[in-house]
Amino acid sequence: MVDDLIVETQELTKVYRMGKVNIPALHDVDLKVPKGDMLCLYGPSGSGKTTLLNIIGGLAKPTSGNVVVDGVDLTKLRGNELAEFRLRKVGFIFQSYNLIPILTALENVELPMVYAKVSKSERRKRAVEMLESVKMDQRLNHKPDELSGGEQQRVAIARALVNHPSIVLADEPTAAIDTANIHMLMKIMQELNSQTRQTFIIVTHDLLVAQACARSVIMRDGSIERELTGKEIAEAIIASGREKTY
Amino acid sequence: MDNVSSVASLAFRNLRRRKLRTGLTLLGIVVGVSLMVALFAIGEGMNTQISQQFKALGGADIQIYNSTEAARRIGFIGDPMSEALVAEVQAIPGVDLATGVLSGLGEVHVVGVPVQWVNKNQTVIMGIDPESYNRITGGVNIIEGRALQPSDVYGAVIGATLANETGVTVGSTLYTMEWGGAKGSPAINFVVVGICRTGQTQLDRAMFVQLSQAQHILQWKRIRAGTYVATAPQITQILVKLKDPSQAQAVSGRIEEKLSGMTGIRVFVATQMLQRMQQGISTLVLFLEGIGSVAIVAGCIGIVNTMMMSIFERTREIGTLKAIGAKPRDILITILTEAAFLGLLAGAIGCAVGGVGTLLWGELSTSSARAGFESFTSIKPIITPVILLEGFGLGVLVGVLAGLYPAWRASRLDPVEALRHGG
Repeated sequence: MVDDLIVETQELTKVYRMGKVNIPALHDVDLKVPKGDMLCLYGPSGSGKTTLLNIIGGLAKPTSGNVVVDGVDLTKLRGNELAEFRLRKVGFIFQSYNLIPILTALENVELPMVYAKVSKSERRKRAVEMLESVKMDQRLNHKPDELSGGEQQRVAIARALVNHPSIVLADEPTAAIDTANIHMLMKIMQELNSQTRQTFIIVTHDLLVAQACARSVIMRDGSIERELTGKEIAEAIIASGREKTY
Repeated sequence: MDNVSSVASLAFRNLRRRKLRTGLTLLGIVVGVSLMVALFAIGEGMNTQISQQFKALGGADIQIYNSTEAARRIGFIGDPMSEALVAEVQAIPGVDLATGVLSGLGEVHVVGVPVQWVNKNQTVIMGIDPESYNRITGGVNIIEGRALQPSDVYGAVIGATLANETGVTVGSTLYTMEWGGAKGSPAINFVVVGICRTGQTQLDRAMFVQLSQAQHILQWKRIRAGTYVATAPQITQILVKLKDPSQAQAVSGRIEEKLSGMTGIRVFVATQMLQRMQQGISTLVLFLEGIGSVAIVAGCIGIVNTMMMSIFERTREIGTLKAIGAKPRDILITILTEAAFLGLLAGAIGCAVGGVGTLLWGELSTSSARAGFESFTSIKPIITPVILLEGFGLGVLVGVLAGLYPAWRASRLDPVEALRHGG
């Protein structure tokens, strides 16, 4: 069973130093994510979700503890190796899409392949296919500022998946998107997850997102508190009145 | 190659998104580069002019003039002195060969051209002894026909500018008047045997004839109205070739001693004078280039500033690029490419502006020389491919150097911090 884990952290701790003050962000996090999972990290802001995501994605280093992603011990990697790891194994999706404004949708999706030194024709082919799978093939040559938030995020999803990463990390991917589009985005991610068996870890404080994921854990004060059941999420949604909006 | 073109296109579009700022930054370097191109061209022009002047001095190791004025008009018309001095100089130990030259202004007419006053009192008539003159100076640079020979009693070699202006070619006949064209003086016909281009404004408008003919044309005195006689044979310049050029100083001393009885005789050692002039020009050019460098440095700081601002604004984009797998080196190359692009553009525009401006100035100074003003001191700047290449290279170099620090900063940004930036 251990072989089927894509992410495994042990006693993962992260402390930020702000001058002389130490601010703990993560505290002894033990997380196991099986391959092909669609996991939601749910929790209030400041609970350490994003920090955990950044460490799993090789953007930040833990203060102590271990983190192994797709068989790679991230604590042993240095600058260029981490960049290579992000390039080959990780796809990032951000709250504010972070598309490059001067590039078209197609060029944005091609960009990770430029760094992976994929040939131009192959790049074009894969980028078009990827944009088709997020239903953006009608807007290949539009710049980000000509696209709606939901459309931009679909392009960003295509960009995250185009290098066939083993894990896709999304940080509040729906926070800037209206409810109708949240539904569509989550559906696209569910489809991609089931088709490609790529693992998704989604950080959110939106219960609708949590509901769309196969599994959710709640984080609080830098630790994973527990797993949330589908029933709990459904009840919480009803209690918040969120479901009436769509 | 695929990736190179992607990086280049990204850099180019990044510059385009802030057109005004890019334009202003460009302007800074364009000023510097065009200034440098102009200065290089002026330096080149000065050096060429000097070496041409040196050529016009004709490789003569020593020149002798009459008149202190002549010092300012090297190679050209001085006051006359007796032709007998040539033999005296020739006899001085260390002198290999001496030749007399008579130069003066005279009228030259073209046969068959109805308007006769082609160059009234404007043409330099150079009387030379072809054999010794050619031996000492190596001869003028003939571009058509042949050099003047001792047998060409009524032959002439004319400068290319004069040929162009009068439409005269090899075989054409020119004539001048004896006795300076005074009333009743007979004409002397000359057949053009060759056309020369010396690169020196005055000589390119000159007519070279036998020394004895020049003496007929230029040297006369009026006895009474309508009656003129030739003066004793005179010359304006003696060119001396030495057996050993390194002995120039010693021999010139002996010449001065020998001619000490005569007032106004000046002896110049050409190589020394040339060296002094070249030194003066090098210093001047160096000084001008120093000023140009200040402009370049200012332009450089402009690029650094632009790139730093641009990177600051794009912090989150850079974070994104890092997140999707760009290595520090990829970021470095992207930013450096942008800076290099700026330098490339500035280099090209600077070369164009500097080149065109310099050529225009050159035209102006040439036309003023044609009008007879300052023809000795006006400098015609010369643009060579090497100068353009240097200017262009300077632009690119400045771009890359100025881009180094901003690019390094960008490549070292912490991705998490960068992603959090501005949002």
